Amino acid sequence: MITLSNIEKVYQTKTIETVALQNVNLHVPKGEFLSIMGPSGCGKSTLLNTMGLLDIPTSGTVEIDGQVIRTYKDKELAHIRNEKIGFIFQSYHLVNDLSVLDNVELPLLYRSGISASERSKRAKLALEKVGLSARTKHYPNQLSGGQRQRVAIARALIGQPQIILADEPTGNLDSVMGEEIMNILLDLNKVDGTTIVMVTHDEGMALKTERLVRFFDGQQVSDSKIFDYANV
Amino acid sequence: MIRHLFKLMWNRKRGNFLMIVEIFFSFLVLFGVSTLLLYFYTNASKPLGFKYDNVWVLQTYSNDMPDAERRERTAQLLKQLRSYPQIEHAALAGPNGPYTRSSSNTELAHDGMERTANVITVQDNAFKDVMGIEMVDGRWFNDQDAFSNRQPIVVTKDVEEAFFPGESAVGKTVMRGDTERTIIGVITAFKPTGEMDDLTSSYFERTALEDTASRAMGTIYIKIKPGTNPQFEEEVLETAANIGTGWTTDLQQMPDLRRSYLKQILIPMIIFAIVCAFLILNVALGLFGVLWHNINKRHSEIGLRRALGASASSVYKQFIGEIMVLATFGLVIGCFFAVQFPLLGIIQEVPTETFIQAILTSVFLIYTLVILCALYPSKQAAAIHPAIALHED
Ligand SMILES: Nc1ncnc2c1ncn2[C@@H]1O[C@H](COP(=O)(O)OP(=O)(O)O)[C@@H](O)[C@H]1O
Ligand SMILES: [Mg+2]
Repeated sequence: MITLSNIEKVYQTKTIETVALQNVNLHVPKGEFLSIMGPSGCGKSTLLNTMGLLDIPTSGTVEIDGQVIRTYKDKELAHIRNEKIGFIFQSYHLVNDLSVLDNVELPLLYRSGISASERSKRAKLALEKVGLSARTKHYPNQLSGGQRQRVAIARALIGQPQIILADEPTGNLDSVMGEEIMNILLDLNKVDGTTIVMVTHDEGMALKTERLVRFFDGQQVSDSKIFDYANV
Repeated sequence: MIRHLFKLMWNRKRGNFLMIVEIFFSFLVLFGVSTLLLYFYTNASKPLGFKYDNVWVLQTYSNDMPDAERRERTAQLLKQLRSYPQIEHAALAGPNGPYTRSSSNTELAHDGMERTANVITVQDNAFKDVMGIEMVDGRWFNDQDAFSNRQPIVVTKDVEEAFFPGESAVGKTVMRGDTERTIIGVITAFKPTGEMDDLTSSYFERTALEDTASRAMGTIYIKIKPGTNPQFEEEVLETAANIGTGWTTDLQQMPDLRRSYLKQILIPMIIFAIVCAFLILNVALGLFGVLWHNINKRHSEIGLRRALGASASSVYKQFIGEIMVLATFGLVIGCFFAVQFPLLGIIQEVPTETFIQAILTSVFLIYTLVILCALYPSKQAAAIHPAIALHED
């Protein structure tokens, strides 16, 4: 589903040059739930942004769903992100001035040919999936952290993407709420077959996924299958 | 997307309240200025109906003089003036000729309709030639008209069109108060109160200096041959003085009168326009600053939208769209107030079309202004790198 070949990412600022990723070769098969771990600053977010076409690698190639990304034309990348990828962030990134329903609808605004009623119907379905049907008219600041992250998940899945990229989705949550989020993601992966790449600091969460890749200083240091995934 | 922007801006109306208020006030100021300018423009685009070049206005004042002597002297002065080869025509008429800052108007009525018109009394037949007035129908006055009991008058074309649409007014009668007047001639136009004035209708009546039953006029309108030496002015004044003591005279050139008339209107208008321009500039800078500030506060939202599939250009369009939505809020309130002017007839002189044109002009200018203010901040917003924007918090 996602193939990174010889990815290198260098951040060039006035004073220093940071090598955020170096010689990364990673293949994520369709339907896999992959977790990524590593110390802070080792390049995990950069990796996810590269997979999600939010960031352009300094060198190397990205392949999404069999399509090698050769053009970096802004409009085309935006289109691929919209169609194929759902994002979940540690800090939720909800728009505070929009209701829960409107937040969830956002990705569909950037897709042509979807009517307002269709958007709202699909948003309600997505919210149902994360157990927030009763909160459609609420605003983000009226929700708990766990509920906010569930809204963010509903937003990520409304466009029915093949890939979900989650950057520390449980990082701001307590273990009970984290558990809830994790269960929703597992469900998405198993029932819908969505390919998920999740960055986490929580070893327990990582062990619930199918495969764990560890990073250190911008490089992959280990890559292991987690054997009891099927039994979770 | 438009619906989305309306929803978003509606929910943010509190935060954007100041901007909406600024847009509202800018609209009102622009509406005021454009109403005024359009009003003057509309008036000025209507024909004046006379030529002011080479026309002099000679006023005579003779407060304590017996009426008979005054009439005699005036007749003598006219005779002498007409003998000068430099003078093409000289006409005795009321003091309210073009640009004289003296005006007199009354209501004419016909068939239940009323119309306000300037009244100019002439006491000989030369006024038409002095002012270059053009006839469209009927005739100008002759000597018998002063003594005719038909009370003959000459009216402007718009009076004819108002009272007798599609037909000739010549021979028809209209009422002034409770006396009847007979129209003997129709002229193209005559706007003695100047090009900026909205009163277009006028009519002339004829009396005679020798008829002691009618008041003696004291203003002589003189048409000078082109190229006459300006020193001829002195000669005219001397002639008037030599006729006798006990009256004073004053000579002014109509082009000068016109210049000071225009100055009197244009100078306050220019000051008003400059004040307005500064105000708008201030608002523009304010808007620019607020937009800039808002966009900087919204990096995370911009990054998010980019991640969800917004291209840089759709972020750009969104920010332009937002300010247009905000402007729309301010303009809706503004228009609500502006339409009261024509609806309630607050300023009678200004026709409804002028108000509507002013509203449309101001709406257009406000949208242009806010778009111009939003262009650069929106471009900055579109240039924000999504990965960095999402990384920030
Ligand atoms: N926009 C940027 N400009 C410069 N350096 C950056 C930028 N983004 C990330 N970095 C650097 O790249 C490295 C990897 O960052 P990141 O991918 O965010 O790490 P992680 O998510 O693993 O904490 C860090 O050293 C960070 O400081
Ligand atoms: Mg990170």
